[in-house]
Amino acid sequence: MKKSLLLLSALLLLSASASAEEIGGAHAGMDFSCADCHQTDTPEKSPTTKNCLECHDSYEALAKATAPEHIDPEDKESAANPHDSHMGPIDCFNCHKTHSPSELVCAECHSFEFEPK
Amino acid sequence: MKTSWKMSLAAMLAVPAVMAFGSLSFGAEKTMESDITIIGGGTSGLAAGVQAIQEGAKVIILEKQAKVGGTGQFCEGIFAAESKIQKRIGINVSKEFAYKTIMDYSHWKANGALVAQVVDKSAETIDWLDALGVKIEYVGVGGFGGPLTWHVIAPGPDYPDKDPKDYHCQRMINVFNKYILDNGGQIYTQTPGTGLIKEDGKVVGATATDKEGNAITIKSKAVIVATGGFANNKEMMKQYAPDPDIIPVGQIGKDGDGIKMAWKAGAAEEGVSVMQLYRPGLKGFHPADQMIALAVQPYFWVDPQGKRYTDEASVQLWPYSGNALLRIGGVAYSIYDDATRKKAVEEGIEMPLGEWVLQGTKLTKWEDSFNKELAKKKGNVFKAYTIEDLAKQLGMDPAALKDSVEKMNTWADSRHDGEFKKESKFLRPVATPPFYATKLNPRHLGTLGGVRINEKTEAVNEEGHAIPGLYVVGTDAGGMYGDSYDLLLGGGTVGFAVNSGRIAAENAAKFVK
Repeated sequence: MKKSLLLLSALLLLSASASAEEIGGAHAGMDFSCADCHQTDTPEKSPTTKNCLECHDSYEALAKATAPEHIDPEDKESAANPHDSHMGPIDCFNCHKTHSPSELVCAECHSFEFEPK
Repeated sequence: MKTSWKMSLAAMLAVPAVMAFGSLSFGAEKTMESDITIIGGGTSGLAAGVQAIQEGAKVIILEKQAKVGGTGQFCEGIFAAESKIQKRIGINVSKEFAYKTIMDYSHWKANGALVAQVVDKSAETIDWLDALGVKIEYVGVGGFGGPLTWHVIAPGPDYPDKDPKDYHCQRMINVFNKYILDNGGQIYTQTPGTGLIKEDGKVVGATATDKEGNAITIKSKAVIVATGGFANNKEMMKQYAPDPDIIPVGQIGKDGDGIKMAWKAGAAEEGVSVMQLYRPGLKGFHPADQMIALAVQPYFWVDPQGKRYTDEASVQLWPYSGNALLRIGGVAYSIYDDATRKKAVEEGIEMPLGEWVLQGTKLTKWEDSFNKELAKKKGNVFKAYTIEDLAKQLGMDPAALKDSVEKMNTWADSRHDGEFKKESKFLRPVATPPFYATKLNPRHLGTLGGVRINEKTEAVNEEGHAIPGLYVVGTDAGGMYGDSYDLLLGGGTVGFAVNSGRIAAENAAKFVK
């Protein structure tokens, strides 16, 4: 009995600490739980790109969705696609963040207008 | 919205205790074995991989990104002293001169034994690269007029995947990558190393997460850490960088993984706050951007009060201009007039930006870049027809800026810089409207310190004792610098990356036998 009480309090603690992280970004307000991305309700590490692609199809599909509508031959940057870059299929979490603001890693060197969700 | 993993508290209570308290790792555990595991597949890790294979070792390389190469994808050439090509051309850069230059620049804070190893190996490394198929196009400088040590890499003729960028350091990366794969080495991309395994005081392997999210354990006789520094780790930048907001260039996923692992395994710190300060500029601008190329020409730079603060020509050795800019708080403005703009657009620029914008390049794309940024009204660029108006736009006292401009025009007229003793060829008046201003912020190309190592590149603890089986190379290791990045001998960072990688592999191969 004592053991199960300990277990209960440990679980309550764990779920309390887990919910301390707010779900922001594109998944805000969608009633996500930790496990939806992290595969566990007591996450210790970031999810992987594979976890994202379980819902978001494939990197190629994302590249299609973010392909530029109009390419200006005079403006090299107008042909840029954040999901099809010279860096290869970089991990989602380099730009897309859930517990802090997202940031565009390309913006280190390029002045693209993309805003990662 | 996926619900299959949602668990109510009741459901969680039903989960057996072992799962609730266990690591709840997802997927299967994989175990692999190698003689040498290399964490990080950038320039240094790949060089170590090639050398380790040549020494007969079984090699596994873990790379966090989708592609190998890391920041090495953006460099051009490598340091060497007394290479065959230098001797052939008649370039007099002796090993003694190179060693003394590096040590004196560091005020002898650098690790003298390590620097000696790197300098001594540098020329042979050019032969080693040549034998692998990496050819040298020419030998250039760090800063204009300086010693010729920067061995710029020629385009490759034959990379099978027809990588359109098979030149500069990317050529070297392509060749290393192919050599490793062709000769039995294993490279795992999107597979970050997550930790070191230590038993009885020795490092005997590493852990990683593969692209499926599975935990991997790699049993290994030695581990070489080569993860490329911590430029993207905000906490570490806050703790160690001279200013946490220095704009990084070419840095993705540099979270200090390897440095943290080595420290955790008992390694000491060295040179953690040394940053590779670059020419100042703006976030979001490519190193070859022509608006920035004109803004960093060494003409007339003022602080936010409108006062000149430096010899602008110090930008030829970028860490100098980075240091001077950080000293005044990290914001300055480069101001030039329409005559200077016209000269740069029609006749070309005086000061080259390495291989990005060559000396004499006519800045025909300046107008597009400047006007695009001006239209955004982000407070990065300004244009005015009078100095007074420009000062107002910049939030400066017009009298102060006017005074600075008048002084500069006097120096330009007399060909003598009465303030900062700038070389006279870079003295230009600010007199012909319209006037243009570009904000300058400090930028960097990565962090340059972290783990204390010895001349064998073994990680050492506070007492200087090596941690058996653990080697740290490239920008995860400290010891080459004092307080600042050294650009006196061009190609230093890559030179250290490749040579430290080779030194680590040679020593690790001996250790594992």
